Amino acid sequence: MRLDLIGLCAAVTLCACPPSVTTITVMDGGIDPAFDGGVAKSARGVLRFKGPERLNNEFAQALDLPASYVCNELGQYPCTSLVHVLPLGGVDPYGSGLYEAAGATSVTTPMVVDRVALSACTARAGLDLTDPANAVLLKGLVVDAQSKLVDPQGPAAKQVIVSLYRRALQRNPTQPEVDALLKLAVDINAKGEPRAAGDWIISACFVVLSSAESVFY
Amino acid sequence: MRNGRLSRREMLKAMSLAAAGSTALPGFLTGCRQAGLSDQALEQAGLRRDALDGKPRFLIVISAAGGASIVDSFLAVRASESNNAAKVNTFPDAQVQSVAGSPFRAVKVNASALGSIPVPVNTDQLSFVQKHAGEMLVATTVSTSVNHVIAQKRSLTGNNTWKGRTLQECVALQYGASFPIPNVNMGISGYAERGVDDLLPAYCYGELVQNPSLWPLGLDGSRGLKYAPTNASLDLARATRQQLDAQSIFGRTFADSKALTRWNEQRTGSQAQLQTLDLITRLNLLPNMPPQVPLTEYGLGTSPDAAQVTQVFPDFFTDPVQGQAALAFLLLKYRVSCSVTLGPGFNVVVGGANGLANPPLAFDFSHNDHRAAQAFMWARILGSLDKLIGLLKSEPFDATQSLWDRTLIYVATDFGRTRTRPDNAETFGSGHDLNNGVLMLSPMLKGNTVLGGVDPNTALTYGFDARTGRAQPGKMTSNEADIFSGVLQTLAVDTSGSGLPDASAFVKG
Amino acid sequence: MLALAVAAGASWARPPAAGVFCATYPTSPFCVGQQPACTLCHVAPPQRNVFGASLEPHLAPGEPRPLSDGDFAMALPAALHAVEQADADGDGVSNLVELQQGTLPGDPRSIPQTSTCAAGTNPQYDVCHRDAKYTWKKLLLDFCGVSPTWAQVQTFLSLSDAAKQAFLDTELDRCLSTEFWLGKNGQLWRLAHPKVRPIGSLKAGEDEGQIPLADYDDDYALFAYTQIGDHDAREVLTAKYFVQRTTNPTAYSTTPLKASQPMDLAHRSGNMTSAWTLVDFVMFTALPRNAAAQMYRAYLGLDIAKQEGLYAVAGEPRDYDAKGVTQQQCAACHATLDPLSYPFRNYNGIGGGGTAQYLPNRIEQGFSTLAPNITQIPEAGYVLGQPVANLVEWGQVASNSDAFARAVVTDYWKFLMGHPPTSDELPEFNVTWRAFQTSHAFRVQKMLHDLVHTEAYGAP
Repeated sequence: MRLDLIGLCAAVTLCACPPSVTTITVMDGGIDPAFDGGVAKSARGVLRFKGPERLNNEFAQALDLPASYVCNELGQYPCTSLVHVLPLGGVDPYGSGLYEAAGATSVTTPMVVDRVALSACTARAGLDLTDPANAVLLKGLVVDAQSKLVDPQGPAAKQVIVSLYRRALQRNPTQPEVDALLKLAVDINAKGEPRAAGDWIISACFVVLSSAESVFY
Repeated sequence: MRNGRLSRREMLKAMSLAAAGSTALPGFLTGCRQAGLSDQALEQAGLRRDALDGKPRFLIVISAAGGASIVDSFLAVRASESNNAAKVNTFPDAQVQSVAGSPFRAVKVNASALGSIPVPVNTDQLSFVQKHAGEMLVATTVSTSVNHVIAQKRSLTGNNTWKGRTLQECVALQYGASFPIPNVNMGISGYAERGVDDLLPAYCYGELVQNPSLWPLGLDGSRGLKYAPTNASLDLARATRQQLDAQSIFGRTFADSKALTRWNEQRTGSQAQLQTLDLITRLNLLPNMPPQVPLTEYGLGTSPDAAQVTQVFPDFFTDPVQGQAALAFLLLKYRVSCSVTLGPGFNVVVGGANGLANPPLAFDFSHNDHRAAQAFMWARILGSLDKLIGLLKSEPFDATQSLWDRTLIYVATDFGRTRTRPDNAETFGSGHDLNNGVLMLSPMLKGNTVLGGVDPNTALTYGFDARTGRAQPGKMTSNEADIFSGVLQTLAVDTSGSGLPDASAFVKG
Repeated sequence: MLALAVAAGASWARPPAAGVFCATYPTSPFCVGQQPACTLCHVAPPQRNVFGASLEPHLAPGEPRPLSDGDFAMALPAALHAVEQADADGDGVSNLVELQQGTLPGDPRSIPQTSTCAAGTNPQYDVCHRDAKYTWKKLLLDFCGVSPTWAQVQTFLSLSDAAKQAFLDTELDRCLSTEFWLGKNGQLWRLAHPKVRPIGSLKAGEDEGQIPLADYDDDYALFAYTQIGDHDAREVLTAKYFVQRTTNPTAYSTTPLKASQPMDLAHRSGNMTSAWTLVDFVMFTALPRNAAAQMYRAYLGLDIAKQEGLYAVAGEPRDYDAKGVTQQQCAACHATLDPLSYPFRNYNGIGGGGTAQYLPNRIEQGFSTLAPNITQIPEAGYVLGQPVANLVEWGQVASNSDAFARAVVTDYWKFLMGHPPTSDELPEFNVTWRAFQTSHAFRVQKMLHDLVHTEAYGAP
């Protein structure tokens, strides 16, 4: 049975014209072993938040979405160029005379990042369901009558995780990262949610896209 | 609770308090924030004192951008009082009204146009002064810059008089530990800049808000997103993310990064706390109005206070100042913030009775037409103030006090305006001048008071002794620290060790 | 009027102080291509910081106060030497070391940085050296706005070390032509926002505001043009041409005339004389100090309001417009600011004989009644302590200065690193701006190639 997320797709008004898709094929295992040694720390410790434009570009590229699909509040107001510009570290030069970015994340930044990442992941999932042949994330996953993953620890689920890491972070996941996201699938299944499989796909995508590694550089 | 984070039990308690609409929630959260501070940090931040004693006070800064002239309002000079009336900015006597029992004056202006803009300006400050004189204090000022941005910032830092902190940051430091977003700033340019003291707790710095009507949409990580996973699934996802972030090579490599440390605090502390408050609903004044605003379709709702607030500020969506003032009220009502900054920008806003809500450059349109611009902008500021004060008076703080009883409004401005004019001209342009005065309103102030005075022959103000309140004719020197101290002292902010001047003259006896 | 606070018994930030300091410590980073700001010794003059306060007892002890500028200059070197071994701000670093390293001896938060290599291994980053993969990803994010893809990373990793370094340069050039970098509201525009300081409702042309006064897109266009290709960055202050922007893709090209820019070419001097600069910063002012201070701040990185870039001119300020700037508390800054502003005297803002035009007798025609001596404002002035005959010369002197080169590189440094150069980054920073000024002949693109190859940029 296909993932029952047709309603989700309907929410994504763009389903009718899916964008072209870049395929990442996991030829090898695609999973790196855990690194158990001590990690040498960065002496500089200098990180910068990506800000509204880069985040939008990054999420769009990672999920093969047109930039305008990534996040729109109430389905129509762009998150990263209109509604949430300042919390994401942007500027408002022409309106408020805010010519330079604050330079630090603010109290509301994490929530806004969550919204943008969730929105992008939901959009991707909707497109994949509409056009499974060209799916970016949803490949080979089998769902039961209760909309749960039949094999939440199987190779298809692992491939989704590997694909997510390669797309969003340009690296293979480590075994603990794969284990954690597979455990997430099991836990969501166990909750008995009505759209458990869909929830997991979107949640796994959300975990990776909104990770600190994804939003700082 | 460990490391400033909430345990499951504490989170449940917080959620139940929030669900009940309790205003005790912020107090509950105080310990969370301070638990994350070392002893040294507490000492540095000045939080050793019992910061709250259960009762916060609130600061609202109105940023009167462009230079709100005090001699075009409460210290206006009548022509008959000046031996230089034709050449300085004095008014025909009939336009300067007195209020019985008050030192304040009120200006009445009738102009057929606002500079080159064909909008009539008919304003009268009398009713405002009559209504609020008892809680008004005007202090004369001499500032230190006529550059807009620099001057705006100095009006909030007292020209770096206390470690470069802004007034809002000082108030947030004193009272903000218990508030989810202690310092919300909707001002422009220099009024929106943060201070230079980098050692304050992160929550003290201003949260910048560009559009008060849309901003609440960002106060929840998932509500209003169609087909987002259930909250239970997202809770699991966030827990997984937190675990992986900490374990990742990236997280371990940059563990000492200040940006990452701040991020982790914001994500694990503030975000969880904020989402329990349902601010995406409580602060949202937008109605369900599909197709433009399809709230219901997206699982969102309008604030239960919307009817009351939008009746007072009907143009909240199109007029930024109305929208900001409406949000300011809700931020205080729900104990989200203890400091809120708002004010007009330099951009034109269409609206209002005559088609213009805000002229270009706000008060700085005085370059073009001083008298009409000042009258128009003062009316805009005072009108919003009156409505905001009305709302704050209507909202109980506790069993004995209203929100207004614990609020101070400081009308900050860049600087004054030059006083000269072509002989007897009623339409003339003005430049920037350091000499001015500022308006404050609060039941906690020594009301019905003018600190300092004005020389009618020059229309320039003179100073005062900030401790005694004694006027000092001839004193024309900078007093930014006095104003800064006066605001903080009225709000009972602990300034020990700051070296700030005694500003007892501002405080109600 | 830009003034300083008055306090009884105040000591002012002395005009000779910076010069004497640099004569005493010529190799201090505070003196390499610049002079120290007053904030080295003051919180905001006259209030001293702890370092300034520690100097005071050693300044000609026993001599009556206030000291004359001459006596102060004579006494300062000995006072500086007397406190060298002390640690005024208690940050564990002596005053002398701080002065040698370019950190503030009166600010405990400002201490020399020491980036030492951490022990252990790291499977993802080379935290001890420039890391090619890290640098490449950062470069793409900074200049192209997006990370490489997985496939691109695999290709990159297959390159030799030398090829990776060469590829960085290729990629930088590619990104510098993207919309993300040079398009409208792209990163170059973002760099320009604090310089142009736009106001939407006053905009003319595209995206016209309600009261269209001038089109600041022209200012962005000239700025962007001077930052790309083989163009000379100095021309942002000296251009005798205008720049037009075309789209799809964005391109900038010069033109000798532009309808939105009324300034004649003889008096044009880059963005200092653009219609927007004159409308917004000169406005209705006789002596446009705001315009001069903004140009000084925006393009030379010197903020007079923060006591930076003070080169007091003897006999100044004259107070031609009767603003009271000769008062002691004002004169410290206005001795620099007023002569900096005189060359703007004939550049009109709004209205009068012509908006945003050069009017030879502007003061005489429009402001003669403002103050008794106002028509005596000269067109000649000073910038960075050097005399200039007019604003065109102002632009030439300013753009050829160390201050300009430092300011350009500092802009990009802050943009790419997230902070101004730290003490341990100063050696690379100094090499970078010197090369920008000399071998690169003020070409930003060449400077950026240097910058992305620094350790400061490429080491995680």
